[in-house]
Amino acid sequence: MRQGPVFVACVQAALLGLAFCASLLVGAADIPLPALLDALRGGDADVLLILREIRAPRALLALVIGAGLGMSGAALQALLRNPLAEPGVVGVSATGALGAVLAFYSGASARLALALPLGGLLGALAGTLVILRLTRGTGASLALILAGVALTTLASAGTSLVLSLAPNPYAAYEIIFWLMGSLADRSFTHFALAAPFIALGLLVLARAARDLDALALGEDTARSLGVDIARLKLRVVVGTALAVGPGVAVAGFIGFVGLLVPHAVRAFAGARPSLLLPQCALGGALVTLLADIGCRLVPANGELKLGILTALLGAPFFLYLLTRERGIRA
Amino acid sequence: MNLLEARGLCVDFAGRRVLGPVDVDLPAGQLVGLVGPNGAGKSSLLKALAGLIDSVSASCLLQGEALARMNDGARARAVGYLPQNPSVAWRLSVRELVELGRLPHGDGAQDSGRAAVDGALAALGLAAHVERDARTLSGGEAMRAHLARLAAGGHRLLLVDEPTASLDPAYQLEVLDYLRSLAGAGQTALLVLHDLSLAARYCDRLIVLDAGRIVRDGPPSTTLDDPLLARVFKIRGIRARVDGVDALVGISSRTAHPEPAP
Amino acid sequence: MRTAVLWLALICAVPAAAQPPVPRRVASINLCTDALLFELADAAQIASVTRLSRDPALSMHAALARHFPVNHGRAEEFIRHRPDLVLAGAGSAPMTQDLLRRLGLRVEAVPPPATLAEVVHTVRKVGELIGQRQRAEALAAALAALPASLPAAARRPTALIVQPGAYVPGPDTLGPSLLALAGLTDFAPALGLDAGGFVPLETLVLARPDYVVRGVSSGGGHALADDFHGHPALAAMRHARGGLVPVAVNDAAWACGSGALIGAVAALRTAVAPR
Repeated sequence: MRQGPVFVACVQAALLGLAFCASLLVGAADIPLPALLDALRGGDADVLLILREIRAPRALLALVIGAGLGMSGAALQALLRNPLAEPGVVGVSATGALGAVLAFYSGASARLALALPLGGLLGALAGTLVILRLTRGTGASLALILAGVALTTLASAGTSLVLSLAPNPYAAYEIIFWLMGSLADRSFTHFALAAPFIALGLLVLARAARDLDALALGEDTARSLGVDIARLKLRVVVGTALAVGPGVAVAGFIGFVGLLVPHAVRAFAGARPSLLLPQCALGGALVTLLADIGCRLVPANGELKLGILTALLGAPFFLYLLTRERGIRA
Repeated sequence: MNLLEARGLCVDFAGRRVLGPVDVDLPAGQLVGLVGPNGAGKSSLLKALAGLIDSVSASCLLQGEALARMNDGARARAVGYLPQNPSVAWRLSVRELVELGRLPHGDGAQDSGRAAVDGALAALGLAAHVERDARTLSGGEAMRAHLARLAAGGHRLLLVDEPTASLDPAYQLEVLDYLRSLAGAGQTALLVLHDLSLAARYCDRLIVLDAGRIVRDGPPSTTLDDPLLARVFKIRGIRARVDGVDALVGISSRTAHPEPAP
Repeated sequence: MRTAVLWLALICAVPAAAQPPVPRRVASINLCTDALLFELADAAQIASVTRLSRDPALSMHAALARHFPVNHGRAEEFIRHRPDLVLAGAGSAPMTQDLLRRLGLRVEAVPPPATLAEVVHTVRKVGELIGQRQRAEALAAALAALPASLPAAARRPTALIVQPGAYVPGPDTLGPSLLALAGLTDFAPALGLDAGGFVPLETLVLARPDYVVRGVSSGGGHALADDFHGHPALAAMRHARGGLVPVAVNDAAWACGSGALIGAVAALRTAVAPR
């Protein structure tokens, strides 16, 4: 099923464009397609306002956050040489959430808006460094999963603690947002806070992609081929933190996108990181956008939380990977 | 001028000296076997020369240039390394695997790179397998693919750690034949080998390492004499005349209980 | 004859003796009964109030509460200084109420009022319980006078109370009553939220009630929930088409059915008064 990388990228980009348009069509206010098109041509200003201020930033955020999750998932899987790795599973998203929650409820982000994405960034950075340290030398699945579970549990507990200690009485109820993720009622402010960091993270990861190719043969061989392993690790760590942390700060914990997307894309585009990483950015954006549309289509009271939907899709796949892995490596 | 000249090379690990000081000279076009009991420091020597582990030396020159001062790219182009039991972490086609050998040159997508890759694939008889998943290859085929990767890099010096480990006898001979041919064409290869008779048969020169020091360095016929075999390897050897030369062809018995490696 | 009078006196005295005496020390384990205590009781009567009443984000009497001992709503806290009466909210902390009764304390549960009439009734009831009938009557009268004091108007503007988390309070709270007393038409039924519920931003933006009433609290830090009212879409729609005027009320003033409701209604009336 292997196709040329350009073909795969074009297909993904086309689907992405469609998904973006679809995302603009879906929302709490039931606006039929003719009315939307009419609004775009200068018709109903109210509808245009909804599109511009509510739906467009939401779609853009889904796109950008998804790209960050997809690419960092592929990068982590390459660096740790483990197909089970991704920011959610290894605990980086959870620590990012903790950092963001600290920045938010301490009032720091009220004084300086940038404190919020920076909090998420620092949290994610800490998480990535811990994971790298805990799985030093071995990328073995058991060590990785356990480290991820420990880190996620610790970070979630910390998040709950901060929320319960927060002075605002409503904080305790907001744990749902932080742990389950949501793009509901996000605005361009949120997009402006997160997007530049995520974009930078994508660039850093793209730079690391070519060196990641050599890791297929192990660290020693890679080094003998001229790859600076220390700098590579730094790039992946910093890139992941940038691509994931600020997204979590603005939309809460969204897991499993970075796990699903590389596996799906690999089937079509091959496993070489230099080709895979950019494709996963596209794929991640697509999956997140589709999931976000799904959240709004589910006929529940209000909408479904985005993190719940990605978990419903991703966790069974994770279990499937686990059972399959027993055949390949310990 | 020697391709490689190292003086006083030492490797320490966890506060313990595992190798050295050793002096090594490697001329161009030579197939050199590095033998010794477990824990003698063979892999350490290889990794030190490849720049993969820290080492201290009075001097270490590659083609007259100080190895330590070479930048990563130049060193990667000059020296090729293949570890013990090489593996592939994710799905790569054989071609993609061999293409990785061009990374130091950065021309994997260009004509010069492609020519080197095609040449290596042909030389190792992999032309029919280029699209196969490298992880699905059998032991011998996989080693061929890894050697092709090494060959594609066009290195002057090759450092190979146990290329015959876990291979069928036929493949062992094939691998050594190939490395022998590379040496004949002007490249230098330093191989860590466990099989003494194979080492004696194929290598121009043997360096015997024991407890981190070089105890013998010379042509196989004179290096692996009975006293050395008894002292270092704790075995008695079987000799026969092969191609008019008195060669070590097998192991007959132990001289004493082998001691655990230090 | 004298025997008959004696018997008559005795018979009349029995009901009087059966009345529980005016409680000297009253404790409260509910934020709303705290408020009623502050408004109706003598200072000497108040044995303890909940810790929450000192939080300016939740209580209108935060400063006053500092002068009184606080409890954390746990039964053990009342074993040593047994108050004569413990006021609780009906339905809240049932296990604690149960335990207190088992310890031999007198516990009276006060249901949370959902209409003005219920507030008036609650005020009178608590006043009777703590032996402050006069004060209670005065407060009840002031509360009952609220509807009448509303100036006449040709049109009652529409308003929607949106609490943190985009939640619209339903008729089980004083929300709809608050709006009515301030001369506003509750917009919730028009959105199908008669029983309360969550309002999506898009729906709010398109529906454009005249006023959006948000709860603010003095003190209390930042929460995500506050983000909703700051969303650019609301401001954009307001500038483009009008309506959606933000009005702030102190949640603590009306969430409990107490005398503070008078202040809340007055503040809201002022905020929406035509200029």
